[in-house]
Amino acid sequence: MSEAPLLQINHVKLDFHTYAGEVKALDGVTFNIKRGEALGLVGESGCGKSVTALSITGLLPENASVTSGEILFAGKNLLTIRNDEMRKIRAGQIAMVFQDPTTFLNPVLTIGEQLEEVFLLNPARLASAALENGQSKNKTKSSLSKSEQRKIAKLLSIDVLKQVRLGDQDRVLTQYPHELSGGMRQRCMIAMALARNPDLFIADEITTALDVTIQAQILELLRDLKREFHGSTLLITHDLGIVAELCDRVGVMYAGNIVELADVRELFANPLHPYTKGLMRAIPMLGRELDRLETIQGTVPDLINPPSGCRFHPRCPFVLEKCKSVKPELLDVGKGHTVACHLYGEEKA
Amino acid sequence: MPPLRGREGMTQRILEVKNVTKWFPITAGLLGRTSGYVKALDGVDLDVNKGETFGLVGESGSGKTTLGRCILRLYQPTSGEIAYRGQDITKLKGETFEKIRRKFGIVFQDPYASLDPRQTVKSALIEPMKYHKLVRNNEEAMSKAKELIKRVGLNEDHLYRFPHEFSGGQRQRIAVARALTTDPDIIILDEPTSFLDVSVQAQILNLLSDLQEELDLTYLFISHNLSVIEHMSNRVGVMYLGKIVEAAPKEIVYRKPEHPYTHALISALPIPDPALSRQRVVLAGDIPSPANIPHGCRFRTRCPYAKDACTESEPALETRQPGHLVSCHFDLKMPAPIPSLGTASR
Amino acid sequence: MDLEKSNRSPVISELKFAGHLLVRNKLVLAGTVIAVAVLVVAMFGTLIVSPTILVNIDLPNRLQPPSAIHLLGTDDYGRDLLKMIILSTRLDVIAMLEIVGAGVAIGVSIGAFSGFLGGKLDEALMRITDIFFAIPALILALAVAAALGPGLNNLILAIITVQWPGYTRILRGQVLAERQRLYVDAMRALGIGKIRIVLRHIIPNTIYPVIVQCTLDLGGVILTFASLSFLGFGGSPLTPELGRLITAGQLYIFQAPWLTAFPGLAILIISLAFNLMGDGIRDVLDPRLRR
Repeated sequence: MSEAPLLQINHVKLDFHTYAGEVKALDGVTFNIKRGEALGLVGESGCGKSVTALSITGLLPENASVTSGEILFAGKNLLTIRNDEMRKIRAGQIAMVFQDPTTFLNPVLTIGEQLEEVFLLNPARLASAALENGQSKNKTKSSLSKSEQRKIAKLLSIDVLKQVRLGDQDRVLTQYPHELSGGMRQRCMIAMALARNPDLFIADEITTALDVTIQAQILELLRDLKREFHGSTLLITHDLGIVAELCDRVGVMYAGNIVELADVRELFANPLHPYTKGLMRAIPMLGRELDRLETIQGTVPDLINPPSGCRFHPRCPFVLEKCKSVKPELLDVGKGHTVACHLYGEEKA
Repeated sequence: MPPLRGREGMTQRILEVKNVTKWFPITAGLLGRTSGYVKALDGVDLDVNKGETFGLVGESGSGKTTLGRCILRLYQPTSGEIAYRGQDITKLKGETFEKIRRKFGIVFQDPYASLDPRQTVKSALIEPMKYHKLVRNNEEAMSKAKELIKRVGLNEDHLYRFPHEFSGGQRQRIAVARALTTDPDIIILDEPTSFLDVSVQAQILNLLSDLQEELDLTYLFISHNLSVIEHMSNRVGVMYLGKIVEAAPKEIVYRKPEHPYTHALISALPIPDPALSRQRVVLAGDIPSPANIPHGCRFRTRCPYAKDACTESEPALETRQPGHLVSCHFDLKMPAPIPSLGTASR
Repeated sequence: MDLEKSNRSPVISELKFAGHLLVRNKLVLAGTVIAVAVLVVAMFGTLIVSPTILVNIDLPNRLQPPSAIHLLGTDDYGRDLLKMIILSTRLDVIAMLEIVGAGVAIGVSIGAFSGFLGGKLDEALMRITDIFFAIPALILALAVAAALGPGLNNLILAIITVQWPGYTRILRGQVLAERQRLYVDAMRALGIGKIRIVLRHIIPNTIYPVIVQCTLDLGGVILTFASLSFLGFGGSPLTPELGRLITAGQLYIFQAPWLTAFPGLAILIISLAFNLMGDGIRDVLDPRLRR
């Protein structure tokens, strides 16, 4: 497939300025997202997966600074474009959904009002929808009156709520976020993201805070949406089960780096990076009769003073001398499977 | 998992919970009248055998955390009995109660909040020992503290540090050490690894398994994480809206459950195997509030098999086979919640 | 393992951070320096100036304006005003510290146990505290001072009675939040008694806002004390106290304005200095309060 990827991230390095020092959160992150694919980013806390998503959407906190690299999307470098351009992209082409819907949804506006806002920001869409509905003979947005725009927006809102499998849509539109349950709020957030008809949908740990049976509902919804939604998805999670169910390709992150990237089946069948292997063995999996779980010795490194060379080397059971001083680059080992580890370099120690 | 222990081959019941309820009154209006109750526990029955790990699963509103707190008497049960080694402890007070309390240990979910930030580790460990006069002098307390800290995988010089200097996993180790200071028989573990990363979780779970074998401990392991429960438990109890709906050895709960909620719960688990394809059971609707529990069978509002009988009366928790309790009007034959793993037979 | 951090208690590292912030704000720094100077003068006042000057009556030199010999002039008995002010400062500052100290001790004790134990005891104590709040502080202090009769200690006691309720409220609020914390449950589960939990864990963890408040109060308390003393409460007319100096100086306000101006200025500067220092401490501790 020689089609250009939708999003290309190249060697992005990012630091956080804190009172305690410079936190080197991203250390040269490189990957891409193809059109129509679902890419998963897995890793434990502090690995930088959420930070990566925030740099794509331009929602980084004030004390963050990107020190090198580029994020290419629709012919632009998202790291250097102006704020208002980025806002436009967030309004239409890239939509992000977070773990905690309570901070994302405005508590003083009804769901209907918030959805309406999204649609009203996209007048072209309203106009084409109006045309489809036969409600307006004009193509230009300026000829749609405010009340007409609202009517169309409401119809579109009901549509998108149906898409996320929320029943009784008229009622939901009149409700405030606090009147809805956790699962319903998540669906509303997903609805608001879909309302933008984005090219890229980013979901950051969206089921982590939910109960198991509610999470199941959302996972099934995401599975169905995957068939209906033609854009790309970036799914960020720490749960390998979710990744196995929903993603086409998976990237494993550790301490600010992508350490392995492969097709989902390939990754699970054939994990190469010692961290990936360790992670998979550390998770209790149903059916495995084990007395003890295999652990990765040590703890996640301090990113103010990260280890030299490969950031995983202090914990790696296969560490070589080279690993302590030379940082491994992502190497393609075939079948689209890339891994950043000296064990798989051309020369083996 | 370590085998069940007991005297003369018989399993000994170390903890019995009999029909325990915990209702929290909801006050409303100017005069503060009670307009209703949040029925966090609504008649819980369960038995824990000495030396085993009993896993307690449930979602929000299930009451599993409340049950843990009632057993520790952090909450006073509204009614019912909790028996430790055959003796009812719900109404004990004073000296007798303090003696019993020492036999229970607790490890909480949040490693950042369960330790006093202004107390050194050494002080946190020594305080319970000296308060209960379990040691004769400071030297004895110190040596016991050193022993405990090493037992949980940390070093002696960690004793002189403050909680904020440790990572989450290390703080949980300290919490475990603290729980052991009073030589407990049974430890309540309330979501001990939920806030920890996967790799750290593995270390803590291994530590808990090792300690159980070394010290002949009994665990009541409360969690919403079904994989962890399956790994750690001998028997599992499933709670829904304040009651146990099914309790059985773990193999049965995970492979041949007989309550539709258990079935849906296990089926909901995402499995890290992309080759596995299956039909997941998805429950409709949301979990009802414990302030407004459906009458009849409390699960009927989401149950795919609900019939009229379910609205009319609440099913009792009955023993269907030895060691397997279910509360359901019907004898449902449901397919395995998760088809065999790894073999993509479809 | 990542334990290279040095063996520091959270209090010490917070104090270092506090120092760092205090130095940054010039006004606060100035206030703190003056406040510390005042405290030093108060502590060593009697070494600098002997109390005997009180009786060193030098009538020929009475009511002299500021000059090289008497930097701030002399009073109606011919005593050097600067020395009088120094002695009075000592008294005022000691009174201020006693008032705030006792207020904190009482307020914290009542607030901690009331908040932790809750129930009817809490209700009763809070209603009593409310009564104290309902009456304007100055008036209540006046009434109590009048009831107790003349004397410096009685005045101090009177102000203490209006000082403690504020700390009770603050601490109780903190305690109500703190007792929900998980470590409290952990200790209860371990069987540790409530009294010990309150004294050794709850109070040390909740005392910060009270410390902030009491440093802010220092300036106000000294003002109240001086004001009531000026009105005639407290010690005898011969007691060296800043308010009293003003009372005495009132009689000569046109002939010798320095007799009222300088003591008044002293009160102003001391009060302002402690206020600024209190502000600085509050700004520093505030992020800590939002835990």
